[in-house]
Amino acid sequence: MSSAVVPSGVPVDVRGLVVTFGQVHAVEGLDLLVPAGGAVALVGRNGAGKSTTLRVLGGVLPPTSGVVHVGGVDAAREPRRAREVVGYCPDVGGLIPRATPWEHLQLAARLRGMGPEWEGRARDLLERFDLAGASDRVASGFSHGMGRRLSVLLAAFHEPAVLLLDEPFDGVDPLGVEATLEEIRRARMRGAAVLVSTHLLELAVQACDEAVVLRAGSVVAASPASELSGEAGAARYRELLT
Amino acid sequence: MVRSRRVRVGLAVLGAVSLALIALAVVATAGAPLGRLSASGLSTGDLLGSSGPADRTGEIAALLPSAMLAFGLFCIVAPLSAGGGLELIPEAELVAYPVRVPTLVRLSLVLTPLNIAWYIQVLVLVSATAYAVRGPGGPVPPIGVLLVFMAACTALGQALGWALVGVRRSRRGRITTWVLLAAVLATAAWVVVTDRGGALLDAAPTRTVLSAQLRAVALDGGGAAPTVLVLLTAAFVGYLLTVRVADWALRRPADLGIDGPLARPVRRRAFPSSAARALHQVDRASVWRSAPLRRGLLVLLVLPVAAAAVASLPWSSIALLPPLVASGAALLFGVNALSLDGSGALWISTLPHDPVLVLTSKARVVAEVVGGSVLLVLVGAGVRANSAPDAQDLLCVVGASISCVALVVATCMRLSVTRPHRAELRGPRDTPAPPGTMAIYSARLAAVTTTVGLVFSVSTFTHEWAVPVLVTAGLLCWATLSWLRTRRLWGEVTTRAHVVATVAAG
Repeated sequence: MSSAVVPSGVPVDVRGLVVTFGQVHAVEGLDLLVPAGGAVALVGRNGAGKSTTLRVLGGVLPPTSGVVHVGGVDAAREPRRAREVVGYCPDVGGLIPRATPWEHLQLAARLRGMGPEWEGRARDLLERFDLAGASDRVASGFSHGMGRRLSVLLAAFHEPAVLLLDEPFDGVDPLGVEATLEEIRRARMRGAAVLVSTHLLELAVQACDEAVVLRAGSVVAASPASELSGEAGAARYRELLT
Repeated sequence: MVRSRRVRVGLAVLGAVSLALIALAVVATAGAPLGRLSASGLSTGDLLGSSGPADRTGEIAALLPSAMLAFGLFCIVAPLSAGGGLELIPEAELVAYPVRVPTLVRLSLVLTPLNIAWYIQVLVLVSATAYAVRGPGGPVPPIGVLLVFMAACTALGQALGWALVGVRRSRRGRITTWVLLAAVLATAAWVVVTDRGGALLDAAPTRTVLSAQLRAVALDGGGAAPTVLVLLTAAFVGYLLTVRVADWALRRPADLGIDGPLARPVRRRAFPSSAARALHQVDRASVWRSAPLRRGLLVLLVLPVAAAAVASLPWSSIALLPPLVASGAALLFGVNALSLDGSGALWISTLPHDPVLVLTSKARVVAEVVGGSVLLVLVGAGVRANSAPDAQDLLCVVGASISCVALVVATCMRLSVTRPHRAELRGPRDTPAPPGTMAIYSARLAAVTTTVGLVFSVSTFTHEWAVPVLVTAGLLCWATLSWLRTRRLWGEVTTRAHVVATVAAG
């Protein structure tokens, strides 16, 4: 069930990552490490480079320069192998509009070469994310929260060595948030590295043990997530953003 | 409104060429020599019960009422296939803005000329009028009458289109729509079986418009005025009616909510045997589960089959059908095929697979839709053809079909990779690209496929079997090279990232 490539060393190892879109520098010299069983929150203002970083790690975007290793695989040189070890929940949508959750899961199971046990895992996840009743309805009829829950579910489906969640709590109800937090806990328990990008600071603190603050594509602070909790933490975070 | 400079330039060129073509057609046909009336030729006298010109203009003029009737029918069908009218911005994106229904209706009317089928009919009718309706008044008065007729048809057609949108959104709307469609098809079948097509066309109400044109060209303003007045009133009433009916239709609950078809579960399929099959299953379902695509395909198939069945075409004309149908089918979604995945394109690109599989799967679905449409129309037209085909006819029709499907699929995949657009294809009037871009695409596809169709149509008159075979082989080579170039382009990671980011943009 687990990914083909067993992570060696640090599952997420990013050094000097630069991503540019024409004249726009989305990420400038980012360094990031997420150990096995660790969870890091990427926080920062809109346009800070959080989603771009996750897209590079997910193998969607090629880095302009820098070294990106996920699960011990060079994501730029071996993007296909990198995708085998990564589970990625995009920040917007991320669902095929006229496919059902079950069809998404079938497609993922087929393309990831999962064994027949995928069905049991799929049913279990659909139950836990409260999507069992909607598993044969097309995704374009889903509410925003349902879509987010399905995206998280799909990212976690193959029990990846690296779990990348971009805004997983956005518009999700408390039960959905609880299911997502539980999935992050399970991933960490089995030794996966988790990277969560979010604007919801309190949830980031709950889900992760470290927080990295990005501004204009660079890291401006990295600290234990607990230091950003409460009023004092929020005040410090605001200072870091400006 | 049109952000891409390339599209802006393209639209300006397209607009200028379109107007220039109409002007050129009027000048050329109005001054064209008058041929002699053929022995079996119809004349306006046969039709209107008066003495008509004893040359070929009479034959053309006699066909004008039927051509006008076809235009009128098209004006009804086009808004029906577009789910009411054309949209500059999808309805779902306008909900937060106070845009009034009259604005949407006016916009839809203004966008009508962007439909290349509408434009071609206008071009043909204007040219035929300039050639056939001659007199001391010159071409301007009869063309003026024709333009008023076209305005009336366009406005009334949109009113009917919106009415059906409203009816469809009612409790029993789907059943009502299907009953109406069945009734229309049954009537068409009855006309074909009882051979009443000719008699019906001879009794077309559009003969009145031709009479008004003949009076106008003879500078008999008083004689033409009643018809022109009626047509002007119809155009004005049609516009007002469209506003009222569209307002009513758009206020009805859309067919997309939690109680709509999107809430109904679909049947599960067996686990796909390969990655290619898995992708293909999802892509095929994405086409058939999209309301605008289903409706577009239905119209695309029913209309040409019905027209070909009524007309009993010769094989030289049947060879022209594959290009028309192929380019029409491609415009439904093929020109932006990668948008079928919507924002899911981002998720798919994180799955471990050979990226070429995704492109091949899309090409396969486009080929299925385009090829299937061409095949059905050919069968419909072939059954009612005016004669049995000889070997040359069959070679030309098959060659035209294979070449056009290959060319259209190759062009679609090229456009999908080089000019991606975000398109949900969810709302009833959604199109795969913005209206301006669609106009350019349709002109481009029509130019290529019509040229190919004409080559094969002319080839039916030759007895050289090598001509269609060599043309088909040449065009297949061209399509294959284009496909290979597109595959290479898609293989580049930066190109793929750009396409995925564009079609998945939220």
